[in-house]
Amino acid sequence: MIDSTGVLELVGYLEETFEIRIRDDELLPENLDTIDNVVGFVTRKQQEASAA
Amino acid sequence: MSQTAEADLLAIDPEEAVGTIVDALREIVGRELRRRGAVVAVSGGIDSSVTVALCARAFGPERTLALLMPETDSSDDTLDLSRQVADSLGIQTVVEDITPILSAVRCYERRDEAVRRVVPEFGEGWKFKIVLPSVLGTDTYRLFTLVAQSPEGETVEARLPANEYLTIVAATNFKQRTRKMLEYFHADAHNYAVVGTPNRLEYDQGFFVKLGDGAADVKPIAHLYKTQVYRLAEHLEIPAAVRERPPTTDTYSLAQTQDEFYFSLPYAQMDLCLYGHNHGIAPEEIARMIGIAAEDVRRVYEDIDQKRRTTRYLHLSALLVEPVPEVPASSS
Repeated sequence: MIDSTGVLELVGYLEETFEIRIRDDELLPENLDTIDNVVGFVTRKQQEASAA
Repeated sequence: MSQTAEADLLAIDPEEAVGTIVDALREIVGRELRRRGAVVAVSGGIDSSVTVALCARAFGPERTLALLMPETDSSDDTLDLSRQVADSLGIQTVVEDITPILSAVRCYERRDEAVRRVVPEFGEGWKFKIVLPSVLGTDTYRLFTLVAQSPEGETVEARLPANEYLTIVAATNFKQRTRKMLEYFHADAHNYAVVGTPNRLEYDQGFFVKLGDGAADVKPIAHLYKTQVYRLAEHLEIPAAVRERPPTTDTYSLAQTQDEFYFSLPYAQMDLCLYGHNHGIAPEEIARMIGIAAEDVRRVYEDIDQKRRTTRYLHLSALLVEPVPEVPASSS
């Protein structure tokens, strides 16, 4: 379980480190609530970005 | 909303409730704390008005001091409403404009620097507030948004990064902490107690600044739902202008309601959700009473638990590595 400041820090870290832009509708537990989910989500975002 | 259902769940006998609190205040302040009166910071809101009225009953108007502490971002009616309350009770008021203190610690400057990192055009004449999206209708995590308004009325919205959010809140907390410092000055100078004004929603959900408005010697309405505070306000004949004013945080330059910053719902519905959660009432039942989806009541219940966890530290006194048994431990 993560609090709102925790989500804020995580989102900022992921956006900066992996050069992705996370939309509000992507701020879901299934994208961010476990390490595995975060890895899967960031990988998908990077693939989307390189495909675009 | 069903008025009957609300009346049933949060029903309170105002006369009895006032009597209980007045007796407790005399016992706590007089016998336990050994102080001879009360200082209350009055904001023109319902909670501080009811609290100061209770103190006037407990200690007499001559031993109750209302502190009025506006600053440059306070809404224009704050001072006038506070004076109306104090005058109706016949108590003494002291006005401390805290703007010069806040300027000296660079409260506004530190805050505005952080705001400008998010909205570079933010400057003279601009106003802003921080908004948190509702929990209703979605399970997404919620991030704070900065809403800024230009002098011409144009609105700019931007997601707040962690550093800027934390800096803006930290700088703004100077306001509550400065007020508390002055409350204790006047309390020490009169040998009075500082009486805090949180209602149950605020106390339970951690809607206060640690060592700011969260600090007090006694919190006489912390067990009352906000709906019940309004009942007491009627009984105590608090001026109608105060009873009819919508709750506000009165902290940011752009008007901000409490439910767009912190609580998920307006207070009357939030009260019933908190009551329902505290008493094991099924979300479906509360949903019927307040006219929102049961799924949303479930989300509010979860948000209540989440806020309790994340704000627990606000209630804690300094923690020790090893006990000092000669000093009894207590939390706020």
